[in-house]
Amino acid sequence: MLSKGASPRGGQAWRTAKLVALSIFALGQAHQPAAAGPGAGGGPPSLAFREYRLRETTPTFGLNKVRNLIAKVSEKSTYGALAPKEYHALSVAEKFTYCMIHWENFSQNCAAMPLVVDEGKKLFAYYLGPDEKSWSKRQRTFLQENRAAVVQLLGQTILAKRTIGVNLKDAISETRATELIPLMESTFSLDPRDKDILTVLMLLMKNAKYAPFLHSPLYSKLYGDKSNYQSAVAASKTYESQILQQAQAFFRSRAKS
Amino acid sequence: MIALAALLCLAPSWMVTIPAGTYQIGKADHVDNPIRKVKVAGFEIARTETTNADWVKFISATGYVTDAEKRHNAMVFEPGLPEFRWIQDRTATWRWPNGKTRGDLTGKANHPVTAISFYDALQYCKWAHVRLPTLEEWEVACRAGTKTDYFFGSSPTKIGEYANVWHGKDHLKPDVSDGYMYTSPVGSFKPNSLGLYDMYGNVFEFCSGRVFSDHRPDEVHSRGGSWWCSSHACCFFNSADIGRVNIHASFSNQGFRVARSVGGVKK
Repeated sequence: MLSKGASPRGGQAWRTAKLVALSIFALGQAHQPAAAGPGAGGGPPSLAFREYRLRETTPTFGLNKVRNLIAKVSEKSTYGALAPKEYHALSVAEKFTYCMIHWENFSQNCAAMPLVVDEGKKLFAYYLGPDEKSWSKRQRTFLQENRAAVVQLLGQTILAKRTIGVNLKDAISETRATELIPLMESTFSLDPRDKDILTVLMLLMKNAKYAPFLHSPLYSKLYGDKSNYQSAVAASKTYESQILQQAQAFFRSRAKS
Repeated sequence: MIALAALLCLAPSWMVTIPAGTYQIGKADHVDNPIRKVKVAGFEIARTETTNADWVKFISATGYVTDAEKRHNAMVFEPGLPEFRWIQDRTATWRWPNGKTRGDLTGKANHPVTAISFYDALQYCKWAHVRLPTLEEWEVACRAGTKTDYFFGSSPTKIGEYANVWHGKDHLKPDVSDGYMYTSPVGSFKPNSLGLYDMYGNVFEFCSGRVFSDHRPDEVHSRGGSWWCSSHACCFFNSADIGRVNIHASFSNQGFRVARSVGGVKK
């Protein structure tokens, strides 16, 4: 719940952050949303909705250069990795783009979440990760060691594309980018189909051990002792409001500290 | 009934014969594996997963070099990693399934071979004149006539009797509560009613075939979960779920068991 007695400093931080995000969105409202996808995603199994959930958002920082380098990686079918010399020669922004469009490792057999009925009507404990691939150790190290720059690049990419693909969601989780909460909420308001944004917000609160969320019934259902990574609840406006409000309060508490 | 038929058939002792028939497989609301009846031709399936000793014979006879040996990209696990996080170890191959710093195959001849890819498993099958079971065959054999999530019932509470799985709440600390952190010797746990061991846990078992949600040509499937799988993570140690991985990916929880059609290899 939003507290009426929230600190002026925290409240101001939230209002400023959200205003900036919304203003920039307003400038682009004449354009179609970048994340054109299926509607509700309910009913019969929807591959289209799954593909929508699995979409990636491509940053533009040095994109052509990075794509050309990746194309030269010899084993295209098996992800491969840039040679250390080429990798280290990339700027921070270019490395960011490289990480967002290229995963150097495989992912585990059971990491791919099974397709479920009425996927669009559910709120999941965990968002879908990139299919069959994961970041390597050096890629994770880059994201964490350059956190401030990465968070800024993530924000710029979300603002430019007005959507948050699985790669960006994963990077937000990896860097615990709580600074982006207002922008994530603004993006969700533009495309409420993307309930995985709510999931990322919950994971940010969970990983930070944010007490109000940890003590909520929703936390018990999705992350409690009987949960697993496929846990989900039926999505509802009540849950949606609760998550958004708790995330706002969480953001304000971070701004205060 | 299936068990009786299997006993009456003349499969070699290391295999079980599944008679031709129509079988119910799948699970309610499981998009990739809905409840349905499938017609299956008679086939034989190995009682156990393919072992390191079996693999050594193949390598000795052919000199085959695995994907992980060529690409140095096998994925391994060590306690302390967040859920679903694995690390690449350039030294990991079937000879050192979790990398050279985590031990070799000494005393593990009877463990399932791991750190091999689906592609590698296919090469073994060609050499051994066998094949991988199809997704449907694996499930028919695993279920042994049952319709529940597990061949021993509806609840996973007995999983520890039948399978080498991970019992910890997460993977931050080692779990050796069942005697094994990684693989166990094949046949260390109770079999299903057909006498098939380790259908759940120990290693993910590669199967041939495609599922509804497939969208890439290089993705392949495996079933049954592994020593890594836990109730709080993927819970894939059951009769319905189907894993997905790249055809050239090598993991230290990935192996296979072989099958063959009654009367020869199914083309």
